[in-house]
Amino acid sequence: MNKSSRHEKDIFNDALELTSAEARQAYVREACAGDEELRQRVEALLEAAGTSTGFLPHRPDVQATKVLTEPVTEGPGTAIGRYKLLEPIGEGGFGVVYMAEQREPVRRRVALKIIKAGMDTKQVIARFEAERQALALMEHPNIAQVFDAGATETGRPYFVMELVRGKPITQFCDEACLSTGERLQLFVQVCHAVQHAHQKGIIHRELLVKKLKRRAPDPRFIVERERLLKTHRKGLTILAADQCPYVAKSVERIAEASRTLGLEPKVVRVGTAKASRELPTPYGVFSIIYDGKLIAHRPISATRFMSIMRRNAERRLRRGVQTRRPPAAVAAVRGTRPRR
Amino acid sequence: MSDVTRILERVQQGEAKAAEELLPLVYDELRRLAHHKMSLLPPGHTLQATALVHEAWLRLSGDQAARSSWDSRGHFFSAAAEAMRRILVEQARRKAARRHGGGMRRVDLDDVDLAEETNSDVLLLVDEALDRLTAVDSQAAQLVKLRFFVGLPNAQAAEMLGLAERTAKRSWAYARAWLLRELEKELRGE
Repeated sequence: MNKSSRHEKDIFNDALELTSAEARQAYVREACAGDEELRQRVEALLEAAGTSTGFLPHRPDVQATKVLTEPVTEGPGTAIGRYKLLEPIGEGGFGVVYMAEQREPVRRRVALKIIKAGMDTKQVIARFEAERQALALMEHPNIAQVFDAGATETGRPYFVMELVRGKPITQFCDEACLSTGERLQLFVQVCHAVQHAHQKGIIHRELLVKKLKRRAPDPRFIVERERLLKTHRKGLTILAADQCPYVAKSVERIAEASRTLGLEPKVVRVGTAKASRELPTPYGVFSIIYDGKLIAHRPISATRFMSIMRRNAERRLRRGVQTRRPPAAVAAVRGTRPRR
Repeated sequence: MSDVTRILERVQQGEAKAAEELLPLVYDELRRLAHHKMSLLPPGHTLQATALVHEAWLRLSGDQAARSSWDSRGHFFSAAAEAMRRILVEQARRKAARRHGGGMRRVDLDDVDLAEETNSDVLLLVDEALDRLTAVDSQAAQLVKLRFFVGLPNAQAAEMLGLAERTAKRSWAYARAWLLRELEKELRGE
């Protein structure tokens, strides 16, 4: 709140406490001390206060609770722009994705993502728009395309993407009984797509197996473009993924191992606002290789990581390098209990 | 610990932006609760927004409710107010689009005095003016949202915003006059 508006607020409120119109006028004139613009603004406020008995009634509009129980604005059958909604295929906190039908200028089925009614705050709209722009930046055969964007008659934004239906990559691989080598070859396609995005400074915050779909006979695997963000590379961090239980457990052990050696790790939880600035990009790729059981081996096990850390620590101790070495660190390396 | 409690904890630890994440949770819960209660009420009976939001708070904050700070409750209720506001605005826009085919008709200042049902065109003007008020005096705007969209009495709204009751009363008087002044300017075409 700036100085002049605070001023008008106080003068207004003080004037209201006076009982006669003349007293108020005189007070305002004095308090504004020659600032004509201020005086006019306060007078306008006082006039508004005088006529405002019914304005913004103290009990809330009962309509609000009534509207809460009304069915959601759009659904199967609703037309939005030149698209007809068919069925919902995904939902997040702020938006919904529908399968929709397009007739002009081409006839096809598409995916339409729209902000939920009631969620269209300025911040959400800004994020939605940022996502749409990020998607529009990419052009790769293995990444779903953005076709169109618009807003409903009530001003809620939406955008239209290539519809991706089909089996998740793991299911496909299992049903086709692919060998590890063949799976890895498929996976290389995915890596190319992810690499394309990374080159544009975009990361996929939720690169899960189920997001990689293939619709026969189309040989491509399409990466669904959910939750993309622009990011800058920054140092080394440990990532915590809610989606990948293995990684989550390992993170704790890795973090503990780091601290034992006096290194405070930066643990970033995927899915937060911070993650967009701190995620090293190959993250999603490893969790797919493991979590998706695409190949049998773990990318790195916590025990192996700890033994690597241990070897490094031993090497440093041998060289006599002075680092912050809490007793626990030395004990961990030597396999003894710390002396207090 | 519920999702809501976790988010509020992050806000308390300084991550102010985390409060945004409350909105979809609160929104969904309000819808759910409203549907549930409407199905239990005799026809013609209406729901009170205040009670609904209070109940949503208790359900979502779980056993942390009693121990929560006024600040945390304030964030939750502000999110609820925002959810109600956006729902009403969406409905108002739909009505306006149907009625005027997209354009706004001239609104009479007398319409502004309706205590029963807030005329949807007026609501849209108030909504826009509220955004402008937020830029000038965000505390006053918060007060409006809590009092008008959730129906909290002055004492409770004041507590949630950490204000003395008298300060809140003054802010509320100012906010109403300010919004009305803005509406008049808008309607006069300034």
